[in-house]
Amino acid sequence: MATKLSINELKSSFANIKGLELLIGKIIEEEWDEIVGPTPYPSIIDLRAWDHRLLNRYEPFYSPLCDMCCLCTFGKCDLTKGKKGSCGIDIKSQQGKIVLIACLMGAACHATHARHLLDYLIKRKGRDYPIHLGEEIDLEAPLTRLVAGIKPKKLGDLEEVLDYIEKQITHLLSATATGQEANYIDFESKALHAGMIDNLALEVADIAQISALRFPKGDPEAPLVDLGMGVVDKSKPVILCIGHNVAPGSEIINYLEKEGIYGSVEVAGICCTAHDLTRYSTGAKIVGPLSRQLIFVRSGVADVMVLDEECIRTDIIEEAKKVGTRVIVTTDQLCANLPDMTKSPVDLIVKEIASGNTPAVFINNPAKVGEVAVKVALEIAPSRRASTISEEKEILNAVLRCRACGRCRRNCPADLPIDDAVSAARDKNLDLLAQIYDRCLNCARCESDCPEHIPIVSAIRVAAMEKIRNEKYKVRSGRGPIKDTEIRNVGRSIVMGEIPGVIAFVGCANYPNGNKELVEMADEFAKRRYIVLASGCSAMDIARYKDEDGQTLYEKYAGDFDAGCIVNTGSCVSNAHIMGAAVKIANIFAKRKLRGNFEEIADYILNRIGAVAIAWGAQHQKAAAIATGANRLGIPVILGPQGAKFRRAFLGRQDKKEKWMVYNARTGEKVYAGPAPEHLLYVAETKEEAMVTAARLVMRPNDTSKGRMIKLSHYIDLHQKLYGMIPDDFHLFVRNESDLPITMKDQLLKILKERKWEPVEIPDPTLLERQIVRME
Amino acid sequence: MSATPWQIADIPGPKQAHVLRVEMFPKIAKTLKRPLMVVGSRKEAFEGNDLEKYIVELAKLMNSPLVVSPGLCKNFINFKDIKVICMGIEDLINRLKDKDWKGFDDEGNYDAVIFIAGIYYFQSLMLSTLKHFAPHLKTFSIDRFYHPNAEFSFENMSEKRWIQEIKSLVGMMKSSLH
Repeated sequence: MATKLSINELKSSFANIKGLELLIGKIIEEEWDEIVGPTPYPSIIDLRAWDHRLLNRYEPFYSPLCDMCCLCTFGKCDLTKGKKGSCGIDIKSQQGKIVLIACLMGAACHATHARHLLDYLIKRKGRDYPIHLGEEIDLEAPLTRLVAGIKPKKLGDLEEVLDYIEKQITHLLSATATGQEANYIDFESKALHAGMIDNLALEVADIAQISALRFPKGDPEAPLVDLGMGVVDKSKPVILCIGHNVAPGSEIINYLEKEGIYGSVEVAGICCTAHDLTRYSTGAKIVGPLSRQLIFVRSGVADVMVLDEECIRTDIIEEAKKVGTRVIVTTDQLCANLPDMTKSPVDLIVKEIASGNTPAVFINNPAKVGEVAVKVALEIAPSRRASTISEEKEILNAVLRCRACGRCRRNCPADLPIDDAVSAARDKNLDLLAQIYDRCLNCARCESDCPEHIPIVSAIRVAAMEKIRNEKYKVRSGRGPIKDTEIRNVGRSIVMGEIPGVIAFVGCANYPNGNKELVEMADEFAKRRYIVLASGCSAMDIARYKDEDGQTLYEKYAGDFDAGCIVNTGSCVSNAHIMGAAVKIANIFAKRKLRGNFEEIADYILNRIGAVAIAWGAQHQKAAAIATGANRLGIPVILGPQGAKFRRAFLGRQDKKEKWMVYNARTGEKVYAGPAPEHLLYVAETKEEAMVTAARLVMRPNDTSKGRMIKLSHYIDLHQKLYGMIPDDFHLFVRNESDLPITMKDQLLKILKERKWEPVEIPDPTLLERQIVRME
Repeated sequence: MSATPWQIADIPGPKQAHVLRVEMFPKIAKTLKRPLMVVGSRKEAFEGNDLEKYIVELAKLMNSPLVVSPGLCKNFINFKDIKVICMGIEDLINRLKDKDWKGFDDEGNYDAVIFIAGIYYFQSLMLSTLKHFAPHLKTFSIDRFYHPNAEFSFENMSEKRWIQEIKSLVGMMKSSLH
C-alpha cells in the first residue's frame, strides 16, 4: 500500500516548501476512474456504524457450549447466573470473544491459503501475470474492488490486498486478548469485520488460481467429472490429495503429463483440493467431502497421500501408516513432526519413502512433491497392501466383543444409533451398519471411546462395501465466477423479486441426517425455479445421489446462473463468487459504485437482493467466518442443527415493529417495511424448517408486488406442504392486496380481515440516511 | 439410569440439572402458573407409539399451549382442544429469554418450559441459552436424555422405558388433579 504525503505550504528555518507531493511505497498504475468511496481498506472501526445498525435489528443470540472461561491463569471462571470472570467479563462478552476467535481462525486459514497460492503462482508466472477471469467477465474482483477499493490487474496487485488482510487479522486477534475489547456488541462488530476479511481472502485465492491455472472461467458448461468412493481405479497407482491448496496436486498432474503417463496413475482428492484438481484437469477424481476421509484412507487404496492445508484429520498420518500408504505433507500449516526433505535430492527422497525407512516426509516445494509422489506411487503400487477378505472378516469378528455399553452412540455427534447397529452386526445382520454409512460423519469418536476397541468405522466400511463400490456420480466441475452477462440477464428479475430467490448451499458435511436432505432441498428449490448455487463439501454432497433416471442434480439441471439451474462455483474459496454475484448485481444492474463503498452495497443487498445461504453441515471455523462475512454484506445464512455449536445466531424479532423501520429514500420518511429478511443467521432444526425459512428469508422490502406475490406463493406453498398449514405470519409480508398469490387471494383476504391487516407503502428502502434523495 | 449427560462430553460447567423423577413432576406442575410445552423434532421418538397423544394429554392437563418444531407439526395439527403453535425452536427461545415478551396469548411470558422429543445436541444448546439468559423461567426436560443445561431433567433411559414413564406421568397427572 502506498502512502501519499502532500504539503501545500510549509515555512520553516530549514526551507520554504510549496505544493510538495511524496508517494512512499508501491506505485499502482491507476486505470480505474471510479471515484473512491468512503471506506477503501476499512479499518476495524470504519464500518462499525453499519455493524451496529445490523446488530440493533439482528441481536446476537448466544447458546454457550461451555459455562466457563478458561482463557487465562485466573480461570477457570464460572460465568453462570450473571457471574463475571476474574477479568470482569460476563457470559455474553465471553461468547462474543469466542465467536470472534472462531471467525479469525477461519479467516486466517483462508488468508494463509491465499498467501501460499499467490506466492506459488507469482514464483511460477511472475508478478505481472494478468488477472483474467474470462471473456464475459470485466468485473473480475467484486469484493476486492468493494473492500480494498482497487481494481487488480496483475497477480502482484493482490499482494497488497493480502498485506491488508493479514494486518486486520492481527489487529482483530489482539482485541481478543485479556484486557482488550469488553462488550459483546463490539466483539460481534469485529467478528463481522473478520468475516468480511475472510471473504476478501477467498476472492484473492480463487481469482489468482483461476487466472494463473487452467481452471474454468465462469463456464456454465464446465465439464462433468467423476465423484464417489467407487470411482478410483484400484488397478492403477493411486495418489490421494487431501486439503485445500491445489498447488502440490496440480504439480502431480504436471509431472504426469510431462512424462506422458497421465491416465496410468489415478489422481484423486478429498475435500476442496479435490474440487480444484478437477478444475485443473478433468482426469482427476473426487473421492468425496471431508466426511469420507477416514473411511477411504483405511481402505488402503491410496499408495501415496499428499496433504496440504485445512480440514485434514489430525490422526490421518497415523491411519495411513497402518495401511502402508506413504505420506507427504507440503505446507507450513501441517508439519506433523515429520523430517523436512525439501532440500534433499528427489531420488533420495523417493528411496526413503518407497523403502519404508521414512514413510512420511515434509516437502515444502510443490514441484518436487509432484515428482516424488508420482515416482513413489509407481514404485510401491505393485506391492500395495489393500485390505483383504481375511482382514475384513477380522474386523467383523471384532463386533462380537460388543457388550452393549452404548458409549459409541453417546459419543456420536449426530446421535446415530451405532449401538443398535453394532448389536445387530453381532447377530450377523450388517444392514443397520450399512445404513449408518450414509449418515456417518467419519469422526470416529465412537471407536475412540469403545472399551472393547472395536474398529467401528472400519466395520461400517466393510458392511457398506457394496454401496461403496457403486458410489459413482457426476459433479459439474467448479466454474468459478458468475459472468457479467448472466448478471445483466437476471439482475432485474432478482431485484424485482420475479426470480423468487438465490439459494446457496455452502459449508461442510456435518449434517444431521446424511447428505440426502441436502439433495432434496437443492432439488426442490431448483424445481421451483430459484437460482441454486453450491460450493465446497456441499457442492460435492449435492452430487452424491441419483434420481430414478440415474442422474445426479448436476446432470438434471443446467449450470447457468439462472432460474431453475444449479451452479457449482467450486471449492471453499469459490464462495467468494456467491457473495461476488450479489455485489455484481448492485453494480452491473443497479449501477451502484463499488470502490471502497461497502456500506452502501451491503445496504443495497440487504434491502433488495433475495439471496440466502444454507450451510446445512457447517462444522469448521472457516464456515463461521464465511457466514459472518455474508451477514455483514446483508446476506442471511441458515445453519443446520449442529450449527448451534457455533454458539451465536443473529436473530430478528418479527413481533417488534420498531425494528423493521427503514428510510424511504424517495421521501426521507421512516416507514415500516416488514420483517424482511427476518434473521441474518438462524439455526434450523430440520430440513423442513430450513426450506420454509429460506423461502421466507428471500423476501426483501424492495420486492415489487409481482415479485412479492411469487415469493409469498412459494413461502405459503412450502409451509402448507411441509408444516401442513398456512403460515401464521404471512400477513406481515403483505404490503397491499397485489402482493397476494392470485390462486389463494380470496382465502388469504379473509384471514387478513380477521387479523385487522392494513396496507402499507412499498418504500425505496435503505438503512442509511445518506442514501435519502433530498427533494428540496 | 444415570445422571450423566447423554452425550458424554456435554459437560457445561458447575451448574447442572437436578434429576427429575416422574413422581416429582405432578407436584411441581401444580405450582406452575403459565407453563409452555415444547416438542422438538427427534422424529424417531414418535415411531411405533402414541407419543403425540400423551404429549397432547400432558399439555392439556397443564393447561399449556404446545409449541411444535416445524419438522413435526404435521403430527399435531389435527388434535382438537389444544393450541398448537408451529414455530422454529431457536426463534421461540429468543422470545422466551425476553421477560417482556407477550407470549402467544398477549398475556405475558411463561414461567416454565417443558421440553420433550428434541434432537439432543440442539436441545442442549437451547436449554443453555435459557439457563444463562432467562432467569425468569424454570426449565424441565422430560426427554429420555439427561440434559445438564435444564433446571430439572429426567435421567438417561431407553426409548421403551421412557415411553412407559411418559404414560405413567400422564396417569399421575390425572390422579393428581382429581
